[in-house]
Amino acid sequence: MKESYVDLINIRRQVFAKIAKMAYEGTDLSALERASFEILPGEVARYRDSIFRERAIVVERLRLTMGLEVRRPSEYHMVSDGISDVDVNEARLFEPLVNVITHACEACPTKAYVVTDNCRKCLAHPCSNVCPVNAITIGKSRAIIDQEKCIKCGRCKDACPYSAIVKYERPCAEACGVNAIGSDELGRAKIDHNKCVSCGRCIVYCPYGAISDKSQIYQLIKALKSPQRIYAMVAPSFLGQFGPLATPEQIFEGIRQLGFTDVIEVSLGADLTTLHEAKEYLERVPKEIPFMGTSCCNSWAIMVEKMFPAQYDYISDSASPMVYTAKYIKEKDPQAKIAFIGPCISKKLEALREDVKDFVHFVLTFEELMGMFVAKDVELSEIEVEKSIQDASALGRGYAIAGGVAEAVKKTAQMLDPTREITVEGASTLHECVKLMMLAKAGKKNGYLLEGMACPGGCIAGPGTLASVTRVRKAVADFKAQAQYKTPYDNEKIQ
Amino acid sequence: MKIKVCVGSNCMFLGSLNILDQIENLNDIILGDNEFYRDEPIEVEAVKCLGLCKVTEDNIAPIVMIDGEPMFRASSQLVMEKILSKMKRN
Repeated sequence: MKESYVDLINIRRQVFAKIAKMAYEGTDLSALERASFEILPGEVARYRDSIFRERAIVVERLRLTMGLEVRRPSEYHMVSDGISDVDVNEARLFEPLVNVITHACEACPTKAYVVTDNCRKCLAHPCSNVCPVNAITIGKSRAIIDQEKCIKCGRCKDACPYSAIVKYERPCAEACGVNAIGSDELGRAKIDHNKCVSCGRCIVYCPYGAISDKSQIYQLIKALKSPQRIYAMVAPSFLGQFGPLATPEQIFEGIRQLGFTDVIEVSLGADLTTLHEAKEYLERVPKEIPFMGTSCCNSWAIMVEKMFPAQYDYISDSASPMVYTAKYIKEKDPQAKIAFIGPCISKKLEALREDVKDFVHFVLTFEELMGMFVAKDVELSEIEVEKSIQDASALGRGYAIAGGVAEAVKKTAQMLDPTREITVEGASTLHECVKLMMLAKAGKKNGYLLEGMACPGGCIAGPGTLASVTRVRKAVADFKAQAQYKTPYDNEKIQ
Repeated sequence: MKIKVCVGSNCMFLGSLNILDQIENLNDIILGDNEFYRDEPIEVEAVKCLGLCKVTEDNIAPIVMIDGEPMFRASSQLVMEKILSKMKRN
């Protein structure tokens, strides 16, 4: 989440709260036709050129939040087309997960170097002197870059003494670590779903809010209202997400008040992942595989699968903390339906996998969960609760922050075999992950334990978060310090 | 000067955490400039739901109290402008 994109965040969240409220109140879905008018009343546009366009975009957001496909502006569809497919009490997710709302996209120009008003047309004009393709001429009032010739090396920008040349890039394309964003025939962003790993960075960075994922909030609330027993498991980055006054215990109790049977920390599954990965590393590296990559970040794993298929086997076989936690719940209650609540949208896809779908039934972001709290009028900081949460070790709770996974695995592996030296290296943006894998593929990381995380700084910067990374990092550290168990071996719940 | 930022569910959902983040750094500007601003720290407090949004049909969240005076539909730029103008030496 980008905290300073206030208006965009508000529109997105109002849609979440609206759908959550409709689900809780059992409102007839024909009300979707009217919902955009309720979210954006009046005749005066607040955000874009016209109120009609604003509402049209909110309608697509409502559809995506219901789990429906985004519509193309060129085709006639009712707002509620396809609604019966998603008016159910189990998760419905039709790929692709990440979608461009085409009529919200402003077709930003693609990457270019641009001369601004700062240019004084100086006598020295180092910009043109350093250009390797002779693309810069000095025009009447300023330097001019011939975009046909320009190879975007950036030398002119570095050479200008007036900072008059800026690098310009579409925020979505710049944020994308796997180069999945191209353009359609009208210059609007178009996602190449063969490349996309659903990390959600483009959703976070588009300043027009033109990219959105799909939600299962409606179906989950329907399930919560049914007699099924739905358990919530909450990712390690939940600390501090719901405001500085909401304690972890109040957050868990608040989730119960939404209709969940019980709540458990995903850090418990993280402890199991740590134990598996530590053993696996000691057994397989370097005998069977030259290096091992962690497996918990789904976008990192998909990236390796798509871009480095020959090395995919070097990613740990261990299941993710989400899956281990779900299996733990299933063992206690075989009838359980399980919802993962986290910062991540990629988990929505992980939950569709053949080996996962029977354990994880819903995936929700913290932001979507907050929509449920608002719809249900839950005030977390007012809840009275005493019981402290002790599902996981301090190391498991550290999974939320970049470096935490490798630290846990390394420490645990060295407890098993104190003689082993283990070198770790981590990457925590998708760009860095790709670079790291290139080096690893070239044999430069043999013997390493590689931790890959698609979000900058780890899960605490996931697209579905609510609070700033600084705030959450501190809250995670406090919660780690409160853990009774220091390592996964101490965790009595998983012995 | 005392600033209270509501971090109840409605206010937080509509961006009060961002307001909190923005104004917590304002002391850097104020305390570093004795010429323009009074030599007085701003005390920022996150407070529980003030209940004001629950008694009206209007959307008034987020709410920020600046020296006891409520600001409705607060945004970080309006809150900061108000704080800095009140902190100015005459």
